[in-house]
Amino acid sequence: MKKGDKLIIIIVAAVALIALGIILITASDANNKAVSITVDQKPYMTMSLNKDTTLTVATQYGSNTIQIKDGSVKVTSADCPDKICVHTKAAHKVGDIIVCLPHRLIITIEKAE
Amino acid sequence: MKTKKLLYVSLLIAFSLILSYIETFIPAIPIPGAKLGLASIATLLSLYLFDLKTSFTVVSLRIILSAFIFTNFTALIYSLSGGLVSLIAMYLAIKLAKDNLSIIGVSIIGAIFHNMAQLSAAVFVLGTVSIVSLTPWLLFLGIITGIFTGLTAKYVLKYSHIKKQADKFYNK
Repeated sequence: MKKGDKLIIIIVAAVALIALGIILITASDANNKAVSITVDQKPYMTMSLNKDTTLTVATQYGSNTIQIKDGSVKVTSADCPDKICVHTKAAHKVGDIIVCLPHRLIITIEKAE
Repeated sequence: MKTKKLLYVSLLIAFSLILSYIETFIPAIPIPGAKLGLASIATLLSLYLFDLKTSFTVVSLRIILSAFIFTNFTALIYSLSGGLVSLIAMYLAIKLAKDNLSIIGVSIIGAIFHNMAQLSAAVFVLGTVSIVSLTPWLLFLGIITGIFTGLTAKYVLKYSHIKKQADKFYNK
């Protein structure tokens, strides 16, 4: 490795750490949280994170089964090719996000009004 | 000589297609936009062995072919944006800072630009900026995968005969 290589690693790691810090500092958690589901830029459904439930979001892009349990939400199964949404760890804080790119599906946790 | 170059370029494309295929067996990193980027070994090799035009052919053919064979059209948008942006970033890195950067640094730059371009494409397709919060993880992963692909490409250039053959095309 040359000097420039190390410089790049240090700069990128520093930027990533600062960005992570900003995200952690600005993240606020609330007691009343809502799960918001968006498909292809349009709101699909919003529900409380405190009520356990399981639902399947089936759209023209494919289907994802979403489970809300013990104050956290996760995708338990999906028919997308990469299964990244299924492998993403359960979301429970405000701002947590689960994405299924092939199905244009986004699950976010928001502060409930 | 022209036929020989065609042969090597075809081999590079075949090589990168196989790498894309192998990558589908590796468990996905649970962050959208992030990839191990095995196929970028071939991109790096073509940049170091041939010129920008040839590398462009290698990258775009690999992406289009692998979209038809292994994935689908949505994946094509993400792969094309990631692949081409990282190709241009790596080309500029070699052009502007060849004396200060080894192939590993170039590879890290490529990986980071790849991840950032895919994230931007996702923002565009999904119509939300909320996924920008994934940036720090994509940067960290870019460093790790970049070092890995860079090291692999470095040893391929060092121990295979392909470099000697390719240099002949440009009378180096």
